[in-house]
Amino acid sequence: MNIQGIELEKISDNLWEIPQSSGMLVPGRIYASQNMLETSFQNDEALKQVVNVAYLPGIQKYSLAMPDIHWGYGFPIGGVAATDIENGVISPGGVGYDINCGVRLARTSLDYNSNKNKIQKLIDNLFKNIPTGIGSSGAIKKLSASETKRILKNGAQWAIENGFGTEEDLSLTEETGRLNNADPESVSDRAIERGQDQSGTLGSGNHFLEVDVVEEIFDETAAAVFGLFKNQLVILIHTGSRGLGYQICDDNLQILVNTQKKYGFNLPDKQLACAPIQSQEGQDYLSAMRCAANFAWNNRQIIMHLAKKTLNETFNISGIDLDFHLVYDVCHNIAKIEEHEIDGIKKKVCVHRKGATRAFPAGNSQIPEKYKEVGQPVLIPGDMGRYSYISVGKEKSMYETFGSSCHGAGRLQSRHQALKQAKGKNLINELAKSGIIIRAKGYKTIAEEMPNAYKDVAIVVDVMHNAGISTKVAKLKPIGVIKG
Amino acid sequence: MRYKFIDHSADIAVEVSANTIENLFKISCSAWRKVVLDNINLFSIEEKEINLEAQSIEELLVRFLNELNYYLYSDHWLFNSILSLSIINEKKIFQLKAKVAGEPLDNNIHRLKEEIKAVTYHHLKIVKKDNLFTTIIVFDI
Repeated sequence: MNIQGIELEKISDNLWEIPQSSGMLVPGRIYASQNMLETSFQNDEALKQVVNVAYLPGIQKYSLAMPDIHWGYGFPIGGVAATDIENGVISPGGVGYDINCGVRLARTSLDYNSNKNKIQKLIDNLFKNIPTGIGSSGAIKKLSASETKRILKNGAQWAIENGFGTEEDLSLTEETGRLNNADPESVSDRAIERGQDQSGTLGSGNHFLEVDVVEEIFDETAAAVFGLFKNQLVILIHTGSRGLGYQICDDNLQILVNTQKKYGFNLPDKQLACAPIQSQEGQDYLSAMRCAANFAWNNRQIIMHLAKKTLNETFNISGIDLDFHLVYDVCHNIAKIEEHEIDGIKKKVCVHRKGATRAFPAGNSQIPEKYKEVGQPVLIPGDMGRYSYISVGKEKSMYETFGSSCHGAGRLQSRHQALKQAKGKNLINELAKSGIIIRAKGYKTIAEEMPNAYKDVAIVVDVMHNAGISTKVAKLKPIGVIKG
Repeated sequence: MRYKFIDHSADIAVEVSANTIENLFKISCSAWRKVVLDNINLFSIEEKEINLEAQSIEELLVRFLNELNYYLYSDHWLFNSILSLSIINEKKIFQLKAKVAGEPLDNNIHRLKEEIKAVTYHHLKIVKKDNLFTTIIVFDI
C-alpha cells in the first residue's frame, strides 16, 4: 500500500511496516487495520512523522505508531520510540508540551439505575467544585514557590500529606505518582510561577472529568480484580501538568534547538530537537520533565479527591458506603528509563510515549501488587458521546511495543472542520438526548470536541486487542462530562 | 500582509505573509490574538518591553509569540498592540526589541476561546520569495 508516497508493507492484519530507507535508522511500524490506513491518513502528515522519528540517534528496533496515531508536531501523536540510554537521545518532542498528560479511573459502589435522578445535580456540583477552562486556577489556595517545588519533587505524595487522598492511591498510580531524580532546581522560575495556582485544575481542550457507567464487561476475571461491575458509576479524569509542563517543554526546546549542530544531529523537523541522554542538556531536560510529571500526578490526585468529596455531598453518603477507590492512573505523554529485551538481551532504554499508554503485563515488577496476576489497567478514553475502554496489558506488548498501547480515539477532524460541522446544531441537547449531561465553560470547546471529530475508539481498541498487545476488559458509557 | 488559518487535525496552523520581517512578526501576533480571544476591542493601557535573542529568525519568532503566551497565562495580561519593534542580526545573533501594549485580563469582559499550550517549532521556516516573507506557525492546543 502507498499512502502519500510512503510505502507500507503488511506484516499482519493489524500491523504494517514502513521499510527503512535513507536516513532512517530503523523501520517504522504502525498498528492499524487496512481500512484505518486507507481512510484516516490521506490528508495528514502522521505517517511522515513516523518516518522522521526513525532518524533519532540511538533509536531501537522500530519507530512505532499506535492505532490512534494522528498528526502531531515532531512526533506523531500515538508514537512510541525507545532510545539506547548510552548512545541515544531524549527528545522533548517525543513527550509533548503537556508532560504526563494522563488518565485516572476511580470506582464507586454506586449502581447507575438506583442513582439516575441525582446525576444532573452531581455534574453541576462537580462543575462548581473543580476549576475548568483556559488558565483555570484556584482549586486549592495558591501555593508558594517553595511548596510548589515540594510537589515537583514528591509528586502525588504531596496531595496525600495534605489530606487529598490516601496512601492506597499512591500504590495504584503509575510509578506511585512520583518519578525519582526530579530536581526542582532544573525548573525555571517561570514554570514554577505558572504552576503555583494550577494544582487541582482540569484546564481546557480535550481535558475532562467524566461520570461513566460500566456498560459492558469483556474480561470477568480482570474486571473483578480492577473492582469493576456492570452498571457501576465510575469517574474518569483526563488532564496533565498544565502551564507548568508547557513552560518546561518550551524552556528546554529553546536550549535544544541550538545544540543540534554541537552534537552533529541533522533531523528532518526542528520539533524533534534532542540531546544525548547522557549529556548535561539531556539530563537537565529529564530532571525537569520528571518534575512536570510529578506535578501532573499530584494534579490528578487533587482533582480525584475533590470529585470524591462532591460525590459524598451529592449522594449524602459516607466514605465507607461510597467505597470510592482509585483503579489506576496512567500517563500517556512521558519518557521513562525502562528495561526491555532487545535482540535477546536486556537493555535499559528511554521509552518515549507521546500519546501512548504503558501496557505492562501480568507478573511485571513495575505494576501494583494487586494487579500482578492480570496485568496493568490500560485506560483509553473515547469521545464524550460514545464510550471509553479499560483494557489490560499483555505479554506481547513487551516484545513488540516496548510495553505500550493506544491512548485514545485520535482526532479525525480538525478543530475548524468540527466547528463547521457543529454550526446550527445544538450539541448540548443532542448529547442530552443520548443521556449525556455536559457542562463546559464555552460552547466552542463542546463543538471542537464533538463525538464526530474523533475516530471510533472501539476500532482503535480492537486493533490492539486483536494484535494481543492489550485486551479489552470493560466498556464505559459517559453520562456526564465537565470540560473547559 | 495577511494571515490565514490552515487545516491541522490536532492543533491550529496559520500561514502568515508580510512584506518585511518586522511585519511578519506583527501579523503573527495578530494571528496569535485571533486564536486566543473572541473579537473584542482591547485597550492598550499598559506597556511591556520585550528584549530577546535567538540564533535563528524562526526561533526568535517562536520565542516572541511564547512571550505573549506567558504574559497571558502567568501574568493574566492580554497583548493588544505593538508600539515598536526592531530586529537586528548581529554576528549571527538575532535580536528583537519591542514595546507592546495591552490590558489586564478580566474574566468578566474578556472571553478566552482557546488555550495555546505553546507555539511550536514544527516545520517552522521563514521563506522570502518575490519580496514577500512567508511562514507557517503551528500552535499546540
